[in-house]
Amino acid sequence: MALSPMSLIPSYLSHLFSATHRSLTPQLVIIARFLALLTLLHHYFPFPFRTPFFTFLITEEIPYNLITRYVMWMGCLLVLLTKHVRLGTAACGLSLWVGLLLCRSCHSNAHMYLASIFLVISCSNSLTKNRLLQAQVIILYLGAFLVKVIDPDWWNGNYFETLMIRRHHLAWYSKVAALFSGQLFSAFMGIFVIVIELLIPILLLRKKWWHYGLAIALTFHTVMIIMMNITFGPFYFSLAASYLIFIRHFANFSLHNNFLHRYPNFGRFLLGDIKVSTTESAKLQTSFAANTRFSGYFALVFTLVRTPLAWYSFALLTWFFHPMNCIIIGHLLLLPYYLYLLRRWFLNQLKFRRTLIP
Amino acid sequence: MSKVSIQCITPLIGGLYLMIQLFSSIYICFTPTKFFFWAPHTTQVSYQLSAEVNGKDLSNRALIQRYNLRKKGWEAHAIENVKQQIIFHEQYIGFNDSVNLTLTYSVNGKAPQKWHYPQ
Repeated sequence: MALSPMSLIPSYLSHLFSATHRSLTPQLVIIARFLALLTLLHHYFPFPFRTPFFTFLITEEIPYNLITRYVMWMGCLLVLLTKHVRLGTAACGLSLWVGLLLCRSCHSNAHMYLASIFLVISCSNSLTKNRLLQAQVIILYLGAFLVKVIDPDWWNGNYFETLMIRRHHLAWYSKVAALFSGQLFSAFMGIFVIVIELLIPILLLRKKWWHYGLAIALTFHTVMIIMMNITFGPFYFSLAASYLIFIRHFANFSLHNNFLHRYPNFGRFLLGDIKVSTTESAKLQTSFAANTRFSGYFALVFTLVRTPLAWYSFALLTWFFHPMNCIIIGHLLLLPYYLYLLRRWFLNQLKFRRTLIP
Repeated sequence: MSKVSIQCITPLIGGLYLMIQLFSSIYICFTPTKFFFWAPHTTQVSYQLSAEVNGKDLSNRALIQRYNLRKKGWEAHAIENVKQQIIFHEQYIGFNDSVNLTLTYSVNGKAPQKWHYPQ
């Protein structure tokens, strides 16, 4: 009997490399496991017991902080190593929320978003599929848009002037802003952010526009964090992971490869539990849309984005190296893929124009 | 309880959680204190804190230990959050101490303002 590489993996790790779940979509399982691993690696629980939100929490008899920390760790392990992903995410989300309520000064949107993703995944099932998390992402942008749009400092440039020059002392920003009269450049930046934060939720409302919403959001957040040199704790990673639900053809793509035909179990180990059809095709090909096929590098990127192991590898890289460097390298690796999508979009537009103007 | 109704409970809880977020996002626009809303770094407040507790000036380290706030720092949500934090600490945790505190702050680079505790 041939020795399968899958048989070398201890049984308790088998769930870790699987993206299938009884009631959750593969995207939600990958997001939950990726964020649970990140939480364990980066200790996203920095809440000391200081100035809670409620007076009944002021007690030294009950070690709330220790209890919530242990619940959080247990939740992460449940998500990663067992099939009880929903129970684990509920534990993670609730403990993060309790942690936030225990410390007024630790109030952090990044941790609140992480907690919300965990809670929303725990409430999802086969009825809702990805819809709850989609609504969560849309509400996040609408909330951010509302607060900014009513603040005059975002329109007159006061906010960006303070953030970039007085707080972060960015020399390049000062030079660019000096080219314009008064605070014109900062005002433009503020209005630009407001428009983007309105545009993203609108684009995420329709399945047909998801690609554009995803591209704009990822570019916007990546440029912002690189400009400011901050990842805002778990915020960027949680947001990037939650965009997985806006990637289409997640579970219904087929992969054809001779290597996988010879070692189907090893392929499953590498690619998670995504359906792998082993046919006699000569090169790696995936079906993207009705008449679209990827091969080689693009097929690899297309597949890796849908693979739990790739997300875990990224989480581990952020642990070994500086998270900012990992983000930049990750996006550089994806650059040919972005350019390919841009070219495809451009050609589609050209085709559309030709049909309009014969 | 039928299987369908059990399946509906968790999505309903999730939906309720999202609705609360949506309403709080609207409500928070009209309140000076900004906790639990979806807009980090909406305001940049630079502040300077000086406190005298029982006749002794607090150092930067002592301020962090007492309020989790630095002597000089930035607040990215709202200055009211800092004020509320100090008021809550003095009313419920450090109420035995005699405190004289001055907070000098500037919201989005505007003219500095002062706030004292006790008010």
